[in-house]
Amino acid sequence: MSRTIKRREFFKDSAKIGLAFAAGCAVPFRLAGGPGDPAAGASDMIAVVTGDDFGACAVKAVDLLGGMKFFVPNGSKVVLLPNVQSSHPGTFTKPEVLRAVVRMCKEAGASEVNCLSVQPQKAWDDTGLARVLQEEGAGLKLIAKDEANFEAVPIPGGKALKEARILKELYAHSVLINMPITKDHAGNRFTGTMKNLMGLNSPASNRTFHRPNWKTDPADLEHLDQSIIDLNTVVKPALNIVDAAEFIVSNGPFGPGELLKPRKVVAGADRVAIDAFCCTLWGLTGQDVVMIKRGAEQGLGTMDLAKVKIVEAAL
Amino acid sequence: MRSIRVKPGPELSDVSLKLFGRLGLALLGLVMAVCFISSCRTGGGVAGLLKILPAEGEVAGWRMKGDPQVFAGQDLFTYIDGGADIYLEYGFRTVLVQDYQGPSGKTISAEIFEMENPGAAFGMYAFKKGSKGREVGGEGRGQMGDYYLNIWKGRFLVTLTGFDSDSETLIGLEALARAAEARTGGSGDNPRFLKTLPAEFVIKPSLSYFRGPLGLNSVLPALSRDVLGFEEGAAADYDTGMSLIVLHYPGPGACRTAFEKLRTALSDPARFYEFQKVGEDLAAASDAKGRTIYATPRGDLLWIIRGGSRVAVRSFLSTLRRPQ
Repeated sequence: MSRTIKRREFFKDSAKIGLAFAAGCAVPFRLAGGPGDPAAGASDMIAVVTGDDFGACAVKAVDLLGGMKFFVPNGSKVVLLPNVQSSHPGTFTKPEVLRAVVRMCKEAGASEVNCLSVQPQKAWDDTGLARVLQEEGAGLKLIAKDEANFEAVPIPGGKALKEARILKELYAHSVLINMPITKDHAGNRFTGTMKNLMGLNSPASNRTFHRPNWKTDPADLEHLDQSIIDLNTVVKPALNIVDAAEFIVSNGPFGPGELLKPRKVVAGADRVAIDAFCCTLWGLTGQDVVMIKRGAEQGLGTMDLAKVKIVEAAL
Repeated sequence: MRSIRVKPGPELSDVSLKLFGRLGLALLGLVMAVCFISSCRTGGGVAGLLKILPAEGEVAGWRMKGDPQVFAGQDLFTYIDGGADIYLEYGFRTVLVQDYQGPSGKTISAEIFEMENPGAAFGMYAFKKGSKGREVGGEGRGQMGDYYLNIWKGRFLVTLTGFDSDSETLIGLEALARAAEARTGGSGDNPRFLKTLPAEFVIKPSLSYFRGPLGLNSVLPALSRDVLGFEEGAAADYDTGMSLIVLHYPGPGACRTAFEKLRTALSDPARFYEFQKVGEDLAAASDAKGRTIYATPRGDLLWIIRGGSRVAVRSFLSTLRRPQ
């Protein structure tokens, strides 16, 4: 699955990736980019770090990619997007991972670090994520579900969606770091980087991702996967840091479900590659997940892990 | 409940309007009374859910923490954003959520789901309980996982979630489950359709029931998008190493159509291997894990046989007939 990279090759690649990321970070989320979009598939490298200190794993993973400075230019206003969907074990991004990422962003020179969310305060309290933000001096901006708080973003070439409705507040920031937990999902079989971006979408728009005729119409059934891909063509995080330390592999995404504990944090820019890697942690392949296949087919990233540079480390 | 509107037509006099208005009100009252009595008898609605909720002090050491929350119908998306679809597929009505706090401050979250009928409750239970765990509350009624417990009875499914596997949490889970079960009316009978599956050699904890592709996806992910249009389905593993999946369609024609789509999928070399068409009513192939998959329609039932020895599969196929 992964191939070993020689030390010299690794540093050469890291330098190239750093430059690519730096270029991409000028507009870390953007409207649909065409060929040559520096943020699209800026890197085919992903970092995978295994250990018991998940915060330290996050730091090491970002270091392997060249360090947070490549993703967060000095003075940036950063949005972090952890998953806070449920407080059941293995369903939300772990507080220690969030804490590590907030610290890295600040050390890199971020002027502001915020989480944006339409989820209630209780969800942030119950998961322990609100406390981390408070202790680390980061902001939590809870946005009312009023449609006026969302910006219509056209999706040129969208197959299922013609527009997304994205949190307006996102546009007051310059860097987006996507921080999902990977886990099971009843609708897609899998959730990771690409699905997590639905956390920026308006709840009303999210509802349109789900169609009424999915019991009889395969197109409707796959509408959710395609909608997620369409959304991902217009929202491109500068960096994805995935909690793959301890997560549910049944009854997802809300849980409770059976826990798997690979003790890993995965980071990189290529959402398709990261998701294709993460699903292998519980016996799936990218081919098994429609969303990942569609992402690869539409050029969002690389699904074939033999073509992905996977840099692994253990703490 | 549908509202009743009394709209006067031009031919109605004031007297008849009053008469019909009174009759309408009386009828409305009668309907509401019947609904209320029916609700009380079946334990449905928010009042019914509150009755199931273990009361303050009922389970020693565990006290209610905060107020209960209730979500009904499509509002489930507010509670389980992104995860509501599977509940709605099975037939969801209402959920009541209440946290409890234990002697040392540990928390258990209780969710009481009212589903459309016992079949929906069992189906959701089988979907949620996971593949491993200890049975609680009688055979096929409840299962304790590492840190959570699911139990169903009648139209209700109770999910209790602890946040660790400490003994205090596990004891609290069982005690709260027992209290909730004792308060729940209705029987624990499995959906009748499960009887379509042969009982001999069945591994009972593997029994599952579904009403749409999301439920089927948990047992047959490779083909769940190729056999759409079924009304209900069931699956089980057998001691012979074989898994059986049976899907019920609105009629033989719909079943035949689904079979033909399934046969086309099995013949796709990008997805399956060693495809064989045996006459008009049997197709076979191997999946990526090397398991054989047979499919055959019988009336309005589509049978899918996965894995197992050739002898076991032949034996099953030879005895396959429409259940009476």
